[in-house]
Order: sequence, then C-alpha cells, then structure tokens
Amino acid sequence: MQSLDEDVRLMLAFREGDPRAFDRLFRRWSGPLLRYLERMVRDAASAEDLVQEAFLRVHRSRERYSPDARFSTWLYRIATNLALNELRRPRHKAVHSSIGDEQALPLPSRGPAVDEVVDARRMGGRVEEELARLPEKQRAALCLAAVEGFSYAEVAQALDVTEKSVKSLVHRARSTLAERLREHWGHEE
Amino acid sequence: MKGELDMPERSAICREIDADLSALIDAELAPEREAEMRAHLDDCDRCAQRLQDLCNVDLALADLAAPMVAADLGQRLAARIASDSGERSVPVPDAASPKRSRTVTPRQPRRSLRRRLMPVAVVATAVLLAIVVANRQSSEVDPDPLQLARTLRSMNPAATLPEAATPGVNFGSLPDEDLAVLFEFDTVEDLDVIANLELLEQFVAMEALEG
Repeated sequence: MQSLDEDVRLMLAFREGDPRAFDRLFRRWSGPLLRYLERMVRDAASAEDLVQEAFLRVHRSRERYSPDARFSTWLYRIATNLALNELRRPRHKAVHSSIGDEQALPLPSRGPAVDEVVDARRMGGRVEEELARLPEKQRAALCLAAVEGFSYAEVAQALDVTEKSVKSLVHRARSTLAERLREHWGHEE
Repeated sequence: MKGELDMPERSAICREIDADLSALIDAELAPEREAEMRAHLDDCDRCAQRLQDLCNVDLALADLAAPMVAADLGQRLAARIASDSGERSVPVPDAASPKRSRTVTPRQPRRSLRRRLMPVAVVATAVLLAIVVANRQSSEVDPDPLQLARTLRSMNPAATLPEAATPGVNFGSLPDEDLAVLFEFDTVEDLDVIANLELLEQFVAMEALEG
C-alpha cells in the first residue's frame, strides 16, 4: 500500500536529499493543514505559525522518517500535538477571546436578498462557534474524519487513541453539533 | 451527551443503531452491519431523521470557507528552515509581497481576507441551504444524505484546496501553470466574478451602508 502513496514517495525522496520533494509536500499539504489548524485554534496567525512549525519538524525529522504510515497521518499527528499545546497556552485564550469581537460585522437590515446573505453569514459563523465549543479531542476527531477524510484508524494514529475512542469521539461531536445547530436549520417537522 | 439524552423513549435497537450512525456516515462499518443499519433506517423515520441531522453537520462543515494560504508562507518557512539549519537563506525575488500578507497576488490593494471570502462563503451556504431545504420538502426527489456526506468525506484534502507557494522559492523552475497560480490567477477574485456577480452588488450596497 505504501508504495502507492505519492506522499510517502516524496518524503523518501526528500530523506534521500531531494529538496524539491519537500517543496512538493508543502504545496500539497499546507492548505489542508492550515484549514485543520484554523478550526483547531481559531486564530489565523497562530494557525499559520503552527503550519510552519509542523513542516519545520518534518524537515528536521527527515532522516528519522520511516514509511510505516501515510505521510498525512504523521503530519497531522505533529500538527495536532502542536495545536493542543497552543490551546493550553494562556496567550492563545486571550487572542481567541478578542477574535469573536472582530468577527461581529455590522449587519444591514433591509431587502430580501440582503436578509438571505445575512442569514447565511450568521449560519456559517454559528457552525464555527459551535465547532469551537466542542472539547478539543472531539473537535480534532470530527475535523479529521469528516473534513480531512481520515479513516478511524488514521485518526487514532493522529490523536494517539484507540479506534474505539475515535468512533465515540466522532459520534459525540456530530451528535452535539447536530443538536446545537438543529434550531438554526429550522426543524419544523 | 446532550444529543443522546434527547432519546429517552428509543428502543434498545434504535439506541444501538444510533451509536453506529456516525460510523455509517464514515463508511467504517462491516458490510453486514451496514446492511442491517440500512434496513432499519428504511423502516424507522426517527432514526432516518437522526441520520439526516448528522449528515447535515458534515454538509455544514464542508460549507465553511477554507482559509487561503498566504503567498509568502513558503518563504517564511524557508527562512525558518535556513535559520534552523544554519544555512544561508534562499534569495527571495518576490519583494512586492508584504512580510505577513495573506494575499495571493501583490498587484493591487485588497479587501481583507474575510471580506473577500464572504461572498464565496455566502454562495456556498446558499447552495447548501437550498439542498437541505429541497431535501426536506420533497418526497419525490430524495437525494441520499448519507451518499452526499460520504462523497464530501472521500474528497482528498490535498486536492480540495489550491497548492501553496513552494518554500524553496525557486520560481524559475516552476512550470507555467504554477507561475500562473502564483502571479496571475487569483482564485478568490475569480470565484467572486464567476459565481457571485449578483451578490457582489449586494455587498457593494452593504458596504456603502456600513461606510
């Protein structure tokens, strides 16, 4: 299976001294990783820093790299550990609390089309807020499984938990989000 | 969890089904168990609605705007790597790009990222809401929420977002299409133009009101 993984091939090439392979890995994975990390830490600048830090660690660890897992699983495990550490830092909590204020854009109040735009804007913000309220590991498990497309086995590797725990984390996260967002979807049945 | 506490009257079978619904969405069940689940869901409106609610979470997550990778993120990483390993930094030809800019092209003053992404997010949200509403209101056309959620999940994350600028910053070695991404093609602006002409007008009006 591993021989078919383009990322593993690139990482092995980088380990053998090809810097273009590292460039390629960065270009392939920095976008998805930034998306994941922004959802985890909810701060764009911190997420960018963590993307850099994750790839810096990949760069440092190239000679110790062993292709016993998908490259993305390894990368997201590094990134998840960095994000969890970041979330425990007092500085992050201060930055995080100020972001909510910046996101509160003034909303115009006339015209049906404008109302639709405003409703959609509010909905997206609400989903992000509720996602951020989930416990860290539930949030990470749901993002990895539902957004990044990881299998439960891969999520388990990235979070250093069992597959059974992943199943529970993902289901609790989905259930909680569904419950909290239900009223905003206008359930009238 | 709260979602589970809301099901006090469910039968033991429904509770077992509920515990496996996420695994069903994520295609993590054995074929036999998946067949059992589907048979139950065909007969149980409450569990089918619960599956729909859980699938809607995935649709909502997929609808959130993805962040843009800053054009100079690769350059900053290259500088950190050079510093970390004691090497000399690679010359960076892109002097027009601000140090902490989150723009894709440095050619002109830009709206903030949030403002620029907002119309795209709005359109995507509108499409999602239309799908969800249509799915609920129509008994004749019944798109499979499970299939939709699985399709979203199966998309390769590395293929769902544009690739970022290379940390090596050797632009001369890049193929034409990569140079086009770096210097000419602006994904967000093009999406604005192609998918969002009417809503852009609304936003111009909104910004005028705000201003």
